[in-house]
Order: sequence, then C-alpha cells, then structure tokens
Amino acid sequence: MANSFYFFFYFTDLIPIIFLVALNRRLRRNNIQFWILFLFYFIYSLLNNIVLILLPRPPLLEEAFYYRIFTIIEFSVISYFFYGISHIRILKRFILFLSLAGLIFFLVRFTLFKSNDALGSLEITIVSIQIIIYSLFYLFEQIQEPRNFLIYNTTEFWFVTGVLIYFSGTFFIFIYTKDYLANNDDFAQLYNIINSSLYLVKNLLVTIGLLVSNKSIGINNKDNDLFA
Amino acid sequence: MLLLQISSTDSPVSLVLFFGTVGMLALTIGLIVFIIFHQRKVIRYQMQLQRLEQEQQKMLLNASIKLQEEERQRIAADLHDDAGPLLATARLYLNENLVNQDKTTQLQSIYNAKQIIDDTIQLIRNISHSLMPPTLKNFGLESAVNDLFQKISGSGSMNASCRFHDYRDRLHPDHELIIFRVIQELVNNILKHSKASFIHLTQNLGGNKLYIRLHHDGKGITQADFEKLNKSNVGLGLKNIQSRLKLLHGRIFFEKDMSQTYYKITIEIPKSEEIIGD
Repeated sequence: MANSFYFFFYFTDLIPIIFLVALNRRLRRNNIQFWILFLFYFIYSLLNNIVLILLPRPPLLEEAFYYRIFTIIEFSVISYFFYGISHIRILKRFILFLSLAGLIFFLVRFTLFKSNDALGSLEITIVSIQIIIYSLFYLFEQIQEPRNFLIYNTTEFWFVTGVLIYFSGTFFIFIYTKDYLANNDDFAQLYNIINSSLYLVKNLLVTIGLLVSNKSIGINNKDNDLFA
Repeated sequence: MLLLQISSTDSPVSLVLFFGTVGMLALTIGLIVFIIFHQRKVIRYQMQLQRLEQEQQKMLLNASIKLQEEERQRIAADLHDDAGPLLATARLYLNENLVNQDKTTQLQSIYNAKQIIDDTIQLIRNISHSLMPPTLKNFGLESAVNDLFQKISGSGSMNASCRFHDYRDRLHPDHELIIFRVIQELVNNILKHSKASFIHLTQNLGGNKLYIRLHHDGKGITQADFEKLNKSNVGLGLKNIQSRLKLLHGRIFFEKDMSQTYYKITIEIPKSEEIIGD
C-alpha cells in the first residue's frame, strides 16, 4: 500500500505534458525542436513509469531492459538539451564528447556485459555525474556570458535546476541500489521517498519553466531563452 | 517519520544516504542561489560600464562638434575681418572714375590695388595652409612639423625646434594628418597657457611603436590633471586630442621630468594600425 502511494509521484509527468500541450502554440512557434524534445521525453517517461509499475518490485534481471533503455534515452535527451542551450563553443564540444563517450559505454555494457544489477546502478550513477557536470557548465556560462538580467525568467534555467536537484538528490540512492534495493526494506522505502519526492520537484520546476514570461531585459537581448 | 526511520536503524548505509542526499541538495540549492545573485551583479556592473562608456562617447562627440564650430568661426572671422576689407579697399581703387583721372594717378591706383590683391592672396593662402598644410601632403609629417616649428621660432614668441631621429618610412597620409593635428593642438595649448620660452619635439621608433615627445619649460599638466580635465566639461582641446589618438590606437602621457625643470608630453602610436572606423 505504502509503495502504491509512491507510484502516484511517477504520474507527475502528466503536469509538464499538460502544459506543453496547453501552451503548444507559443512554445512551438518559438522553438519547435525543443518543444518536441520535451514532449517526447515526458511522454516516454510517463509510459516507462506505467510499465515499471506493472512490473514486480524489486526489479528482476529480466526487466533490466526497460530500466537501461530508459536511462540511455533520458541521458540522450538531456545531453542534447544541454548541447543546444550552450553558447560557448568549447563547452559544446566537451558536452558532445562526454555524451558520445557515455552512450558508447552504456551500449557496450548493455549489449556485451551480463550484470546482476537490474536497475543499472552504475549507468545511472554515471548519468547523474555527467548531468551534474553539464548543469555546472550551464551555470558557469551564465556567469561568464550573462545574457539575461533575470535568469529565472528563462525556461532553460528551470529545466536545468530541476534536473540538477533531481540528479544530485538521488545520487547516493542510485549508488547503493545495486546492493541494497532487493534485500533491504528500509532502504527500499528510503529509495521510494527520496526518488519520488525529487521526481515531483523536478517536474514542478520544469512546469514553472514552461510558464515563465520571456520578456526579461538582458544585455544582448538575443537568444536569451529557449522559448523566447 | 523519515528521521525516526533513519535514527532507529543500525545500518550506517541509511545515515550515509540521508546525510549524503541532504548535503548534495544543500550544495545544489546554495550553488543555484549564488549563481543567481552573482550573475545579476555581473550584469549590473556591465550595464554600468556600458552607460559610462556611452557618456564618455557623448562627451567626446560634443567636444568634437564644438571644436569644429570654433574652427569655422575662426575661419569666418579671418575672411570677414581681413580678406573682406582688403578686397573692398582694392575695389575702391578700381572704380569707374579711374578713366577720368590722369595717367599717373591711374597707374598709382592700379599699383595699390595690385598690392592689396597680392596681400589678400597671401592671406587666403595662409588661411588655406592652416586648414590643410600642403607640406604635409607633399613632403610628409617631418617637413610639416619642421615648417610649423620654424614659423613659431620666426614669430619670436619662443624658441621652437624639432628633431626626427627615425622617420625614413612615411606613415599613411591619414595617420600623418591626425598626428599633425595632435601636435598642432598641443603646441597651441603650450603657446596659449604655459608661458614657455622653449619647446622641443623629438621623434623615435621603439619596436613597432612611434614615439613623439614634446618638452617645454613652461607650466604644464601631469597625467592626473589630464585625466581630471578629460572627465570634466572643460578641456575640449584635450578631449579632441584623445579622440584623435584613439582612432590610431595611440596613447598620450603627461609628466614632469625627474629633474623637475620641464614638462614632457609623450605620444605613443603603434606603427601598423588601421584607423578605427575605416
């Protein structure tokens, strides 16, 4: 029952989906590429969560496929997003290089190596580290080349904040899932609490990002925002 | 409930998880807040710099326009007060009644009119030369500056000399004109304000830079005075000098010599620069 309660949080993907659809005219007009990306990511995330709810807990090795594929797709989408919003060439190249290296590693590990870790704890940890690094790059870029006086008036800021909070908060949880999730009920409960609440926070922050006004006064006043 | 759970368990893993997660979240939120405030500070500072630069540009432009108008007024005054009366006098000598005069009187009138017209031609030539000295265009900066200093010495007001140590290759004519105007302006300022008895100009090359140094024994200004005058609404000539030198990426320094006997002005210009705005 308690576990069922946490499943509710996985449906919070609906919140950004609803706003993406409701505001589709404005968002699509300004940046259709990222609108499609966001929509795909949240719909896929929702469908994946529905599938995972139906699967037994703790996850079995046979279900590793769903977890690993989701990790790879999530990583690809978020990396592409960071690549798209970065304006400093050297950072863009670094993101591209790291992302490609990560993807190759995941695919090789997924296809060639048999693991007894159903959740893909190592992959998720690496993804978390990389996304935290990309978020730091973004924040560094905002200091080096500030484009907006009110940074929190941009959609990308809220998206970056959301994923940064989610991946930094769940970092330690994901490290220990391999050894403790199957055998330790206390750990499992802790995992559910932390993961689901931060998941909700992430989705709420992204939704705020979709709603913010894009008319902030900046220095350059061009390319200020994803959906400007 | 979460805290009870963690404190009641013996497992150190739960403690690590809890504190690790809280620590990471605290760091993340702290970092984001710091970035927001720092970035606003940076933008505010950059906007302030932009504003100051715009004000400086506006002041330089106003100075330039004012100086242009003063120059035009001076030319107009020269023409009106000098050339005008001369030509009017020549006209008096050449009126219709001349045909009724005897030959001697006619010849005398024609001769006087010719003298006056010659003087007028010379006057207009002088005005034209002061606007654009032909020596500069035809013979270069060294000759034009030599000419200028000879005229000053010739007037008897002060002892002026110049020496070009290394000016084998002429600069671009536009560069030479700008440098000549700067030297003209500096010399005019020295003549007007310093009460100097001598002025000496030297030219050197140092690396890829051209150095022009002006020494005089009158009352001069230091770099601090120059900066102060530049920021204020007075000192139009100095602003003009600075804006001209800026076109050449040049710099100017005002200082008192170490022996405290004379003032030195150093102009430093990179040799191979394009003029800004070309």
